[in-house]
Amino acid sequence: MKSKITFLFLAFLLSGFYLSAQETAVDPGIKVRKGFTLTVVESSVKSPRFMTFDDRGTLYVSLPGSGEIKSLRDDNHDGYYETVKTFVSGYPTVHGMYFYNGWLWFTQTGAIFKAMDSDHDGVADKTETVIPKGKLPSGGGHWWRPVLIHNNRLYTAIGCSGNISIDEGTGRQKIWSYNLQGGDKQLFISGIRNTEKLLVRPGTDEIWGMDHGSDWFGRYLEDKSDTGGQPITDYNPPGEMNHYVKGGFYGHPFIVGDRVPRYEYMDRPDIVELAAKTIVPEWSTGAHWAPNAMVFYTGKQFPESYKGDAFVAFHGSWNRSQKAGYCVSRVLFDQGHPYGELKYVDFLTPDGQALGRPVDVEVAPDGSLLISDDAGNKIYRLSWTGKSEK
Amino acid sequence: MNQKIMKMIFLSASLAVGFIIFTAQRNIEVYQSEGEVQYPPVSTFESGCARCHGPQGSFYGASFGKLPDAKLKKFVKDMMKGPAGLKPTPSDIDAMTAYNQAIAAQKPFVFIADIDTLKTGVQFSGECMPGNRLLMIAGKDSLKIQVDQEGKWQSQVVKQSQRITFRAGNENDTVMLDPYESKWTHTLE
Repeated sequence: MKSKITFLFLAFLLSGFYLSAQETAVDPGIKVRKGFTLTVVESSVKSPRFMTFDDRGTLYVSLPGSGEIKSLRDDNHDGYYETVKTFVSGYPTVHGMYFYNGWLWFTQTGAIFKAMDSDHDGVADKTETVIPKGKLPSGGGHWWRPVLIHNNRLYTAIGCSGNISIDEGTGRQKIWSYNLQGGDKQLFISGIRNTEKLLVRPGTDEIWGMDHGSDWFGRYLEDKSDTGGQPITDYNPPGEMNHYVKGGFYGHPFIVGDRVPRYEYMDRPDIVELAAKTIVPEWSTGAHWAPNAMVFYTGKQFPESYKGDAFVAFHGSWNRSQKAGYCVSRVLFDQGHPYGELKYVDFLTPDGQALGRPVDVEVAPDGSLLISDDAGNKIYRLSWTGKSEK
Repeated sequence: MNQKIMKMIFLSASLAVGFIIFTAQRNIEVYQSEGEVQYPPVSTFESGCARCHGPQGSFYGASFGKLPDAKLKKFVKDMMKGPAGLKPTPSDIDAMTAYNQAIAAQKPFVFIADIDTLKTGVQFSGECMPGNRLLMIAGKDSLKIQVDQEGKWQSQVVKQSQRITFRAGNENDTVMLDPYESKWTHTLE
């Protein structure tokens, strides 16, 4: 009897150590909308960026700094991803991912690969190059590369090499499509600054994505104080939620938001023409909030009205007098178009402390919403725990 | 005769004391003239820049190495004050620019963070690019310095009167640094 009590006591102590090592606590300063609960589901991976699920419920997380994709499983179904394995390694700048046809397709800044885990041990046993290094532009200020597969075409992009650089002839600031073997390259759209994730609106063939607005908007008028062009820059330009239409031009680097020219380019003889052909955002977000990613809600856990709405992860600002962003918001849709926005998780305290920097949002198989935070080295789960929708 | 010897000993001792005082003052003057560096460039890059630009700038594109020095310095200043959220002094910007020059040129980099004058001699500490080999040449001695994974290092205590030079190397190149002339290596003119 005594030995049993000792054993239980030791097990209790060890479980305490285990849980504390996992850092499951959510900072009480993080504000969460009523009816929802935020929990930590993973805290061992460093600087998690993008996430995706395979058809078996395995969560994949890209870690560009260490050049790895981790595979995460919650085998004991306690809500925490306790099984973490290195799916692939040796791919610095690994970023965008998309699971399709048994393969995890993934990007580096200048290449695209696909990997398969045939024996389901969490480690890839087969990796193939889809588009090799040297065939795609890479690096620069905005090196992040998304990947999406839809209707047997692969879509990928890379952003602006600087802030408002003219990257003509480089393949940058555009979304391109390819066949699934990496051939038959076709221009899809142009004029983006930094779209880090592409996705299809459920039930349609529409391709959507968030695009970061440019920096230092007011600097052209006032750079003497070395404040980055404030007070104008504080509120300009907006971040963009875009519906990318084949052949479309989305303004960058000349036009921002709703067809407003950048001061630097307003004397161009074609500036009005450029504005006229710019497709305006479906939804404009706060200036410098850094909208990194969005996801359309397709789960069954949240109330019915959430279906078809989007959740957006805002990494947060640096080019403002006061911090802004650092949150996850819901963008409400009606008839396929956004009409409103509400914050659901706010990592910014009233005194301007950022308690996290959301990168990606993804709907988990149980209908909860996962949020990656590359500054806090955490993955959060937002769950509906309310009784009825109000 | 004895008086002559005594005079020579006195003269030698005076010269030795004078030299020690001179070199000690020289250290302080150089240190102050360069201003304070609040943000050691290697560790600051890793904590404030690497999340976007990769460990040791490994995510920079090929065009990064072609930036003119003035443009690079402006870029460094904007990035330190902007996304990194720092309040750099001119010395901070110069040191970080030098580190970025080393990254662009794929050259080694050494930064002197501190010079400790002890009773037993002098000891240096600082940073170099992770993976670099670092030697301290003190007089005729060539002393290997251990560099940790983050690039931090601390030298052995050596006599202050010796001429001291640091030599850092990687697979491509070697750079030299006189710690009393500059606190970091400049790899480009």
